[in-house]
Parts: sequence; C-alpha cells; structure tokens
Amino acid sequence: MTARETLVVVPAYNESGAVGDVVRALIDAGLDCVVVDDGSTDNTAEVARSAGAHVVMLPLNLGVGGALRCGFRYAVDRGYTRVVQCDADGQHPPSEIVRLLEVQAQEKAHLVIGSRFVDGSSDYEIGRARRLMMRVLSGIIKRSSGLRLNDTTSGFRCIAEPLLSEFSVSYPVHYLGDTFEAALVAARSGYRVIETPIHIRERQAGNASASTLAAIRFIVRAVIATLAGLTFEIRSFDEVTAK
Amino acid sequence: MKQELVIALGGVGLAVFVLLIARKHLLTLRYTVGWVVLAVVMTLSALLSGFVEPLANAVGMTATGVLLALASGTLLLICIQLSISVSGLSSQLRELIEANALLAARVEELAIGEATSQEPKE
Repeated sequence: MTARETLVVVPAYNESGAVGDVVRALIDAGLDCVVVDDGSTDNTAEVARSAGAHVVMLPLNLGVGGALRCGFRYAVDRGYTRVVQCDADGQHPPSEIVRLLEVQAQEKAHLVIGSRFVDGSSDYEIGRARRLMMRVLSGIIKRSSGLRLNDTTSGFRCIAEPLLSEFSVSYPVHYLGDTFEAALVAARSGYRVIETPIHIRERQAGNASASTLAAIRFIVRAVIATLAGLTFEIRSFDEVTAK
Repeated sequence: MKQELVIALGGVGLAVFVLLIARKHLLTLRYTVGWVVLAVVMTLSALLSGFVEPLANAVGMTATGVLLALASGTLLLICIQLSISVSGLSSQLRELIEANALLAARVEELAIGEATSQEPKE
C-alpha cells in the first residue's frame, strides 16, 4: 500500500469537537486527508486546518453525499486513485482505514464497505426498527444486484478507480443515497463490491445525523426509488474499461 | 351567468396581480408571460362559455365545471413544470457550490505555495 495514492475524505458538519483529533490521528498514521466542511456554522474548518488537514469549504450545507462528491472530485483532480470515506466524529479509527485499504488491494475491489455486522466486527448496537430496515435494504440489494450485504448504511468505505471517477461525476445527495444506493448502483453496473468486518468506536462528539423516524422516511424513499428505477446512473465497468 | 362573471373577474384579477408583482421584480418575464396567458385564457373562456357547452354536455358537466376542470389541469401542469425547474436549479446550485469550494481550496493552496516560495532562504 502506498499512502500517496490514497486520500481520506472526511465530510464534516458542525464537528469542531472531534474533527481535530480525527485529522491528527490520520496524519500520524501517514494518510493524506481532506476535510470537506459541509457548510458548518461552527469553527469545524478552522479546527481541521489547525490540525493539519486540507480543507474544502462548502458555502452551503449539501448533505453527506454532496460533501463526499466534492471530496471525490478533489481526489480525482489531484491524481489519487483510492478514497476512504471517514466520519468526522471519531468513530473510524485509522487502524481500520489501513485494514480497509489492505482488503481493497488484496481483493482488487472497487468498493469495500466496512461492515459493523459481519463476523469479526464490533458489537455495534442498533435499535430493532433500524435493524429491520437494514434487512429490508439488504434484501432489495440482493434481489436487484445479487450482492449480499449486511451493513447497507455503513459510511465507512473505500472507493477505488475507475469507480471513484464515476462517483466524482454522479453521486446522490439525499440520505442513504451515498450508502445504500451507491452500493446498489456500483454492483448493478458491474463493479466489484465487497464487505469486510470493521470495529468502530463511540462518537467522540456531536450528534448523529438522522433520527430513527427520519431513517424510516428516507428508507421508504429509497425503496420507492429502487423499485421505480429512479436511482442515479454511472457508466458500467465494461463501458469504462472498453475505452 | 354569475359564475362566468366571477371566473372572468378572477382571470382579470390574476392578470393584474401577476403584472404588479412582475413590476416589483418579484417574478421574471419567463414566468410572468405564462401566468398572464393563463389569466387571459381564463377570462376569455368564462366570457365565451357558450362555446364550451357542447363539450360540457358531452361529458355530463356544466360549462362552469368544465372551465374549472381545465383551469385545475393547467395549474397542475404549471406546478409540475415549476417542480422540474426547481429540481434543475438544485442540481445546478450543487454543481456551483462544489466548483466554488474546489476553486477556493485551489486558490488557498496556490497562495500558501507562493508565500512559501517567497520566504527568504538562509
């Protein structure tokens, strides 16, 4: 693994309490990182910059998907061939990022999803309702693409070329678009998508981005979008590699 | 006759209201024209409701009912067209925000690089 081919993208919205430690841990681990400040109203950008990160500041809040696409564009523009999405709340330790990268290199996968629920991962607790919904999403992905995923909403992922370039052009902003829908679209389009167990920590600061009620609403939307063929589009792997 | 008169007056009122807010630059010409055309059609349809009678008889409705149904359909189409416009604008705004942020980051990097290169060498 070479660090210079990999960029860690940290989307951050009002995470001034945790983002500094996250950035320092990434830099100590020898990883390049960019913090995409998603229109924060606190001093997230200043804290990240002081900690040594490159910072891209979005003037308005676009949501995680918007911040991620901006981070992907930043990576592609600078010649990085792999990106790791990492939360700004301190849940994703650098040791797990390195493991994610190793799995990507070994398996030559285009999308590696860090799963909190497959064997060997942490005892991550979620509510019954949310677990049920994730099972529904897993079922939809399996039926639509044949891909077996346990953790459909994990935001801890490694994306490698040529999928990275595709996602830098087209990536949804809505909730679950960057997780469930992205995995579904990648698998359907012929990219190699795999899942690997990860251990995550408790949030260091800040609040979770979506309540259970909101999750239900967005999951219903995701289901409708999938069934009605309203998911975003990228070029297929065959199309990209045929050039 | 009273109903037709109310619809015709409604059409005139709509046209006047739209022109007033357009003069205050709250509405662009593109949308002003659409709404004024709708108001004119509404007024003329009410005044010429006799021409709608055969259609109304054919579908088992009153002439006023047919006019209102047509007006509702037109409003629905306008709402869908506006939704399409807003969706397009959201997408364009997102592109602009991202491009602006990436450009700002690039400028900052160049400024830092320039400042570093201008530091006196020991």
